[in-house]
Amino acid sequence: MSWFSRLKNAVNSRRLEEDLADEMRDHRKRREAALRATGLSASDGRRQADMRFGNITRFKEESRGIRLWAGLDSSLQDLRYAGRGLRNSPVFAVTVVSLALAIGANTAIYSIVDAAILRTLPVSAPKELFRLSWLGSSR
Amino acid sequence: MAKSNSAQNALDLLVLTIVERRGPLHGYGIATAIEELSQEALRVEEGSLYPALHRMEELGWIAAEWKVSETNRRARFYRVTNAGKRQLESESERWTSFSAGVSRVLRHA
Repeated sequence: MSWFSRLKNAVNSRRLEEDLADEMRDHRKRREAALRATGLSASDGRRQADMRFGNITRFKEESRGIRLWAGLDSSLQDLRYAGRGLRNSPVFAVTVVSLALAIGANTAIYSIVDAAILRTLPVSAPKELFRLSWLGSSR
Repeated sequence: MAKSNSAQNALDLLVLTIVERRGPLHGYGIATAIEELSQEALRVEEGSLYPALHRMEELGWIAAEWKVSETNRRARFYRVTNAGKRQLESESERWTSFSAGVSRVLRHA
């Protein structure tokens, strides 16, 4: 399963819920139809289909756990793997960390300069802005 | 990731083999195929197939897609990925040598 669909499952867990329910319901409907075709009554067919399927709540829970968390779990593994790699080559680690700090500092400074100096105020005529303030109550 | 045991490995092997040989299949199709081919000797709770399918999907061995089936019902169809084919190959080799070993012991002990 791709990263994207894992993320979708995590964000939209109702959708995942419906997905699981639909898939398992479809199975039982098919089994029921097959049993009906052998001459079972409607209620017997449904009962036997349910019995052969087993504990649907448990299976749904298992599947939900797999489809929600396995992605997270493996991304933690990736992180740990990356951490070990960095620890094994300190020179590379120092390079990466100093690059990260430098890029971060640059970005911070440039966004301050951009907001304070380069950009004009977000109104149509900034020169006509006035600031009003109270200077105490004289009366 | 998930703990593996021999029952789970066997189920994985069956599912991979069936999906690989019989093309895209939905869960019900896989369940009936296992049942028919094993002449009902292997009968598990049908629902337990789904966590197994979703686990294998998560491992990247199979991929799933919602499609409208022959009876005009929406179903989730599974197919084997390239990683799944590799897994199937190594796992079926392992299985063959394992069962050959067991039957040798049964015969000669």
